[in-house]
Formats: sequence, C-alpha cells, structure tokens
Amino acid sequence: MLTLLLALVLVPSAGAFVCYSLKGRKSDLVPAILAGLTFILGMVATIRGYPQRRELFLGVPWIQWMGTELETSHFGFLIDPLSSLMLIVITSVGLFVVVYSTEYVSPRNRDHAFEKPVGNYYFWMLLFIGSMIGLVISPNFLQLFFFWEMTTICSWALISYTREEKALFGGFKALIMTHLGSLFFLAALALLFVRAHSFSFSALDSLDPGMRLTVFILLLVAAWSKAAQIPFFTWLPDAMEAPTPVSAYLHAAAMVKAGVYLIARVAVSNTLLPYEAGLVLGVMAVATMILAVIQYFIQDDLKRLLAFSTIGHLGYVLFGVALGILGSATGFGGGVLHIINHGYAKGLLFLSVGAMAYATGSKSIRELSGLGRKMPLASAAFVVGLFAVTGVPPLSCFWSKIMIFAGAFELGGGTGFALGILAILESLAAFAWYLFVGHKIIFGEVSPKVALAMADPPMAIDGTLIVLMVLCLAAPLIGYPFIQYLSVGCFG
Amino acid sequence: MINFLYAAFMLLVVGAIIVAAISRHKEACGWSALGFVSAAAACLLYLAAYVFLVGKIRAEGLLSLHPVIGTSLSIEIDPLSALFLIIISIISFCVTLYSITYIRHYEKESLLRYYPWLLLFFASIVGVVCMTDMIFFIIFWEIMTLTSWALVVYERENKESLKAGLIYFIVTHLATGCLILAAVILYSYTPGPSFRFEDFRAVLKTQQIMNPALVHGILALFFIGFVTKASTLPFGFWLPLAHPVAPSSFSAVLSGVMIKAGIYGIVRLFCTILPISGSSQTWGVIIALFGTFSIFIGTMSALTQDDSKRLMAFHSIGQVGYMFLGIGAGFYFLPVNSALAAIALVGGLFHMINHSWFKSCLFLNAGSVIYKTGTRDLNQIGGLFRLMPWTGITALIASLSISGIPPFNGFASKLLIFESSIIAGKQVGATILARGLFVILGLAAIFISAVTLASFLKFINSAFLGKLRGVEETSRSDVPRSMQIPQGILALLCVLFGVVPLLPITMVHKAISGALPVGLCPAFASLFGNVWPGISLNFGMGRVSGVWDPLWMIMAFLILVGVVSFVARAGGAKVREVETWYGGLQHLPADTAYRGHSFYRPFKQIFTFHFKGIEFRGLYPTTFPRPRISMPQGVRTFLSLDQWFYYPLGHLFMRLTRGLARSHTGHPQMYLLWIAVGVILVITILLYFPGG
Repeated sequence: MLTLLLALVLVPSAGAFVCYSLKGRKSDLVPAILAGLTFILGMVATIRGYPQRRELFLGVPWIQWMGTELETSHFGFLIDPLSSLMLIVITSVGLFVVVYSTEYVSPRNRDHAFEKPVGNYYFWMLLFIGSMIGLVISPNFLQLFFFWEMTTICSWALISYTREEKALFGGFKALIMTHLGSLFFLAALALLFVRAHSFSFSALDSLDPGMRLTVFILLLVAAWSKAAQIPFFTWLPDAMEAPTPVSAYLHAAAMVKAGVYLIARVAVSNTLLPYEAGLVLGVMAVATMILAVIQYFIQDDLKRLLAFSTIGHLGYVLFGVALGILGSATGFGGGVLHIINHGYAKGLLFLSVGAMAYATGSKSIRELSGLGRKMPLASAAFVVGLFAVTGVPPLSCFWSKIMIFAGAFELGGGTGFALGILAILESLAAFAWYLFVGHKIIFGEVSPKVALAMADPPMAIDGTLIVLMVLCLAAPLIGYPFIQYLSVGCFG
Repeated sequence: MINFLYAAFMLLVVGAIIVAAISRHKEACGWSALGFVSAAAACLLYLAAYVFLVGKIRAEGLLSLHPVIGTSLSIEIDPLSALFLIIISIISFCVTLYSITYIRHYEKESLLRYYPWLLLFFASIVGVVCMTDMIFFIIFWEIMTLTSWALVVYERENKESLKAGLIYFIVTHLATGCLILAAVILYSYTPGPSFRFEDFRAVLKTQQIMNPALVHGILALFFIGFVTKASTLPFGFWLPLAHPVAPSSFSAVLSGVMIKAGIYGIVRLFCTILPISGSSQTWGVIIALFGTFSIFIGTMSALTQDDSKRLMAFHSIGQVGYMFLGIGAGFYFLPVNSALAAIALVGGLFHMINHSWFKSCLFLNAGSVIYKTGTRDLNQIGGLFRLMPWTGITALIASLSISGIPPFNGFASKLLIFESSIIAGKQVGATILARGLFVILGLAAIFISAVTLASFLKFINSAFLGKLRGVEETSRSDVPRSMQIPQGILALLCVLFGVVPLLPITMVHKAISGALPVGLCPAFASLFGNVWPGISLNFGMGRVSGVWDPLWMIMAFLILVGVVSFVARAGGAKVREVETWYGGLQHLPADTAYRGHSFYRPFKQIFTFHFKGIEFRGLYPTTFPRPRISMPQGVRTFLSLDQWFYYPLGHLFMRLTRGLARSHTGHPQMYLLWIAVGVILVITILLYFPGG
C-alpha cells in the first residue's frame, strides 16, 4: 500500500520531467499514458483503502531539525474516505483533461492556436496532478502545506501559459492572492507548532478554545483564498485567461477544491470545533453564493460566467461542511458529495465551452447562437452540464443540494432556516440564468461566428464530453459509499 | 403484483433507449415506440384493475439512503393513484399511435428528440403518482418537467417555441423550489427525520395545534407548487404559451396528463398528508376561489383566440378551474356535510378524467387540422368537414362534451359540480358567507359553461363548416387511419362515460374514499343510488336531490328524432339547394366569409382595454412586461472588489517599495552608515534585554 501511494505521487511528478522535452507525436501520447496510469493507481488505492482510515509513514525523517519525537517529521500518507473521494475526482478529471488537451492545445484550435512544442504545458499539468494527489493524501498540516504551495506555483504557470499580457497578469494575480492566503496558513502552522507541538489534523482539539478558534479562522482564510471565496474571489474570473482544460481542471475540479478539502479535513478530524466556527463558515459561504449569483447576470464571457458559478458552488461545499460542524450529518454528507458532483458537472461545462471555442473561436454569449445545429454533441454536453450543475434530478448536484438543504433545515432555528432559504433562492436564480444562457447559445438561428465553425471536434474532445455526461448521472453513485462512512462516523 | 409496475417502468425506459438508437428509421421508430407504450399501458391497466378490485399495493424501503438522509424509495398504489394510471395508460397509447404519422408534419426535426423524451415522460409521471416519499416524488416531478420541456422546444428554430419553453421551465422550476422548501421544512420537524408522507402527516397533526401559521405557510408553498403545474391562473400563465407550440400529440399529453399531476398533488396533499381540520376548510375555500377565477378568466379569454390550439389551452385553464371548484367545495364541506363533500370531490375528479378524454381528443383534432392545412390559424381554414368527416365528428363530440351538453361525459361531471355548489347554499352547518360564496361560484361556473359552448361553436364553425378553404380540393382524403383511431377511441370514451356514468363514478368514489381517512367518505350507494343505469344524487338531506338517467333520455330523444324524420319523409318535404344570399351586392367570396375573428366582436370590443401599459384582450394580458435586470452602479462598484481594494492596495505597496528603494543610493558610504547603525542597534538590544 505504501509503495502504491508513493508511486501515485511520483508517477505524475517524475513523468512531468520526462514530458518536458518531448516533441512530436510523443509529446501528446506520453502525458496521456502517464495520466491514465495515475488514474489506475488512484482507483486501486481507493478500492484497497476502502473503508478504513490508514496512515502509513516512510521510515526516513525528512525535517530533521524539528525533533524526531514529532511524528510529523516523517513523510507519510493518509488514505481514508475523504481523501479517496478527492483522489477519484483528481485522477479521473486529470485523465480526461490531459486527453482533451492532446487535441485542444494544438495549432488547430480556432480560439487560440497553441504552437508546438507543448512539453512545457504537460510538464506543469502533470506536476500539478502529482502535487494535488500529494495534497490529499498528506497525513498532517505540514506536508499538506508543502503540496499546497506546489499547486499554487503550477496554477500560476498554467494560467500564464500563453504568455499574453492578460494571461500573465491573471497568473500573477492568482499567485499573489493565493499566496496571501498561504501566509495565513503559515501563521496557523506556527501557532500549532508552538501551542500544540503537533501538526496532526486533530491538533486543534488539543488547543484551548480561544486558540482553537483563532487557528481555525487562520486556516479558513487560507482556504478562502484558495477556493476564491469572499474576500478573495476576484482572482478566479481573471484566471480564466488560462487554456480551457486548465480552467476545467484547476479552477473547477481540483485546485480550488484543495481549499474546501482542507476545511473538510479539519472538520472531520476535530470534534471540539466551536459553534462560532461553523457559524462564520456558514454565513460567509452563503454570502459568497449570493454574491456570485448576482454577478452571473452581467457576464458576457462564458468562462467568466462559469468562474462565478464555481465560486458559488464552492460556497455550497463550505456551507455543507459548516452544517456538519454545527451538528448535521446530512449537511456534511451533502457538502462532501458536492465535491465530486460539482467536479464532474463543472468540468463538463468548461470542456463543452472549450469545444465550442475550439470550433468557433468565440466564447462570447453575444456572438454565439444556434450551436445546437452545428455542434450537437458539444451543445448536448452543455445542456447536460447546466442541468447537472443547477440540480435538476436525477443528475448529480440535485442529490448533494437536497442533502444540504435538508441539513440546513434539520438544524432549525433562525440561522438554519435563513441560510437554507437563501441557498434555495440562489439555486433557483442560477437555474433561471443558466437556462436562459443555454437557450441563447444553443437554440435559435445560427449566428455568423457559428456558421463558419467546423463541425463537431475530433474524438479526443468528443469522447471526453461523452464520458463526463455519463459521469454527471453516475457521480452520486460513486460518491455515496464514501460519504456514508464519513458523515455517519464523524457526525452521526 | 408490484412487478407489473416495475415492468411498465422498465418497458418505458428501455423503450426510450431503443427508440433513441433507431431514431433514423422513422417508421420503425414510431411502431416500436407504440409497441413499448402499449405493453406498458397494458401492465398499468392490469395493475389499476387489481388495485380497484382487490386493494392497495405497497412496497417500502427499496432504495434507502438512511442514515445519510432520511429518504427511501417507497411505493404505494392506492385507488387514487390507480385512477391516474388508467388515464396515463389510455392517453399514452392514443398519443403514441397518433404520433406515428403526425410526426411527418415535422420533416426537418429529428425523431431522436421526440420519442425518447415522450417515453421517459410517461415513465416519470407513472413514478409521480406512485411515490409516498417526498424526495422521490420531487425527483420524478422534475424529470416530468425536464422531459416535457424538451418536447415543448421540439421545433428548435421557432422563436415562439423557445420563448415558451424557457418561461415554462423557469416557472415550473420556481414552483418546484416551493415544493422543495415545504418538504425540507416539514422534514426538519419529523422525529426520524424522514421524508415519508405518513411522517409528514404526523407532523402536521401536531403543528396544527401548536403552530398553525407554520402549517398555513407550508400549505401555501405546496399550493403554489402544485397549482402552477395544474395551470390555475394567475400561476398558470405559462400554459397558453407552451401548449400551442408543442407538437399537437404532445399538447394532448400536456393537457390530458401533465396538468392532472398538479391536481393529483393537491388531492394527495389535502386528503392523505393533511389531517382534516379547520386548515383544510380554509384551503378548500382558497382552492375553490382560485378555481373559479381560472374558470372565468380562462374561458372568457378563450373567446378572443383565433389560434386553434391557444383557444384550447385557455379552455384547459378553465376546465381545471372546474375541477378545483369541485375539489375545493369538497374540502370545505368535509366536516360539515360529508355527503355533499364526497359528491363535490367525486365531481371534481370525475371532471378531471372526462377532461383528459375530451381535451386530448380536441388537441388531436387540432393536430389533424394542422396536418391537413399546415396552420393553426382559424381565420385561414374552413369547410374541412367535407374532407375530414371523421375528425369533424370526433371534434363535435369532444366540443359538446367540454361544453357540458348531455348526454356526453362533460355534462355528468359538471352536473355533480353545479349541484354541489348550489346545494351548498342550503347547508346550515356552514357560515352564511361560505354558503353564499359557493352559490355565487356555482352560478359563475354554470354561466361559463355556456361561454364554453360559444367558444367551441366558434372552433367547429371556423374549422369544419362553411366553404372549403385552406387546402386544395385534390387532397380528398381524411387523415391517416393511425391518426383517426386515437381520436375515435377518445370520442367513444366521452360518449361512454356520458351514457353510463355509473361505472366511472364508482371508480372515482373508490379513489376518494381510499385517499381520505377511513370512515370520512359515505358509501357509494347512499350517495349515488343503486339504480342502474342512471345516478340519483343524495346529499344527505333526507331526499334525492338530482337524478340523471342518460339512457332514458337518449331513448326518448331517438324516438323523437324518429317520429320527426318519419313525418318529414311522409309529408314529402322538398329540399332546395341555392347559393347563399348576401343582400344582392357584388362581392368576392373572401369578403363574405365568416372567419374566426368575426365571432363575438361585441364581446371583444367590451373587454379590450389598456391598463398600466399592458393590453388586455378578453380579460387576459397579451403582452407581458419584460423584466429588466439592471444593476445600479453603486452595487457594481461594490462588487468589483479589485477596483476599490486590491488594486489600490497593490499600488500603495508599490509606492512603499519605491520609497524604500530610494534608500539604495548606490554610494558605498550610505551602506557603511547603515551597517554601522545596524550593529549599534543590535548590540544595544542584546545588552538591554536580559538573557541575551
């Protein structure tokens, strides 16, 4: 098991260096093979680790100076239902995105022709997969922080990949803002080391209540910066200058989920979190949701719309976790299930928008119309994605949203009711606008930009869309076994 | 036994997949869809028969999500659900048969977007009426909305279809939002916690006493959710937009089946989930009021319509109002006079079944007209009876049924509703206000019955009578047989249910008594009499209050017709055919044609007015104010956090660093000075603080 997990981190990371200097056909094929291998390893690790919680350590202490009595001085891994769920999302969406990129990141792209060689792109992409995997199977805060910073760097590099001015600025802004949050993370680590002498996830329980809340708030600010919540949400829309597969992966399915994973991990491992912690988390999450949905109506660029939608949905996950901290197992289950549901649904939406941009060269809602006739598969993917993400049964996000609503009302009291009603209203407003946008770009007469488009893109892009459409239906089935153990074990 | 339900469901779902796979071969696709639907309909009819004859069927905890969330797939088919299964099976069969040739009208559109959605729609509505767990009810409810939306926007390039589909889906989704809110509020009060209907009932029972405002709030949310789907005004404004643009076969399903899902929700809520009490009385009045409002406005505005399907859509709104009038009166009088209440409820639900038959038949007729002439506009067609006699006859039967003309089925159900609301005026157990109100509502309903007849006279006259217009003489055949048969079946059912009303009334009575708590509904014989073939109504006031024996009346009528025609034949009256006389003026045939828009001009002139920038024709707004979404500049500035916080902060930081950079002058002397100062400072600190 230990070697499996070690391979899981090393295969993509080392493979990144291999891919850097490849040219020609190999430069597309080898990354795809490596991503596939990572996916298989991830699935095997998940299945073998289910359903217990296991911590495994390498024998070599890696931060010697902190004192060998500190268990965190050893490099190791943790596999439990929460990290397994994240592992499934990361490796599967990683595979899809890499396969998609083999066609998208090419000179044939009408939106932005990417010149060969693209070894640089796959280097950062595979390195990101490796660091993200390392993040979710870290057994303590320190190791998690190491991989957290790795993902920040990969994100910066990938956003700025095209080297255009807007992309460079977007990448730089993302780097600064997420790094700002990391400073808060460092402060939390320092406090944990000084007060609790431990970096373990359950270290917050051993602090006294005032310090516990402080450390939680510091970690929360770090999570907010990573997950683009209030007040750090402005970097995500500008990060949409990245190539679309990068947006689908980093800024919908994986990197931003690192922030919510951190808080979910804190909630799972600590039983003594105070009521105020849950309250702050919940109120800010719902405020972010409302703020994000207000911004939908003024967007013209499809990817910016999806960016604000991601911000809102991460608010849903944090809201669910907050409900868990406040005592509702259903709400917590819904929040964690939303990680996988939203990952696939938003990934599908981004990739379908990418397919549209690939074929027509435009991402503007004003310029696109009548895509249903020209690109039936990409349009169908967009429609399935929009229904999945807004919570139309039987597609994925309905299940997690209904669990979150039920959890909110289960808590009762003024707060639970008020937050729950606001969440329901957000869901309805988002649905109305998404449907309106979908109608506008897919139905109706064929606009000039669309008329010049090529027909449906090649199989690399189409195949990914088809698989993701199926997963939008199947995601709750995949996620349910994991949240069953999580929510009942910790909050039941 | 429940395997028949699973079989029907699987047939429809698997059928949808198979039909999607073979959608390129239009004939094969249509016939295989019919095969799957017929098999499923047979299973459902068998199931319904079993439930009526033997008893209800239950299956619990099939897919349990406990303990993560308190819901599990639980099925219960009681006679009320069985009633709906009968409607679903017959209408689905008729519509699928009709679609096989009708869909040729849409040459440009692919069948991939028609049959699979149609079959999934039937599967979802079967699910809706069989669930006893709220989450799964909502799931099937939304799948029903999703599949019907896909079919409303079937003509993808038609702007009207798209606009109708968008409004329809958003409005019904908002209604579902209300349902979800009500469900989770009730869920939070259940001890389980649980989403089961029985547990909701227990919660409402206790909360009715402790927190009646909460109960009324929950009921209001459920009411909005169900009434929007059942398209009662003012929530049902989506219906006149959506029904005309859908393919006619699906319009028949929308009006005949989907609206009934809203009525099922209301009846299930107030009979099974809510314990009978003062709240059900209050809501009975509210339902009846909204119903009568729909009857009035819906049917009045139907008089001004020239689009055949829009006309029928408005009538759907009106007829649903009748059903709600009966149902509302029933709920109000349940604690007061259970016989009256039972008859009113039976009247409402019986009208619902009848409406399915005649409205679906009417939409199929309109579809046949469209198939032949290519247009929905009543002003452009005429005299089609010569070409389409079968369609004409079935349209006539259905029109007379909807207008409540004996001996058809509409009369039988409307009789029950009218009698209940008028006799409500004599119930001493209710307040004067309520009695007066129901009498007034009944009078309005009776008046609108005449207006319905007027409106359908317009339809029949414009489409079928007069000179042939709108289609060439050469195409001298009626619509294909596969379109004639469903129309015939439905018209036959209208006649049958009208001539022998006792059988359907028995079924409806069984459904009501099964849904209500035990003992609340009087026995059938005491309400409707035991004498076959007619019904004699007994409102529990010691005597029979109304008798309707259609068979005797038909016999009398036939005898009279026979006598008159014998006399005419024996007298040798000659029949002379001449040209129509138009006062001797020179005219073109087009000038003197009495088209659709010529009907009821005085009425249109009276009821057309402007109010606050919206034009009302026949009491219904023709233009909706477009919602303007604009954000005030202050909010926009606040939202762009970059502009007033981050970028200024960044600039400040840059200014600070530039200021600090000035300390790097490049002269070595400056740096030596810094070093000296720094060393002195460090030594001072180390010496000053102890332990250094």
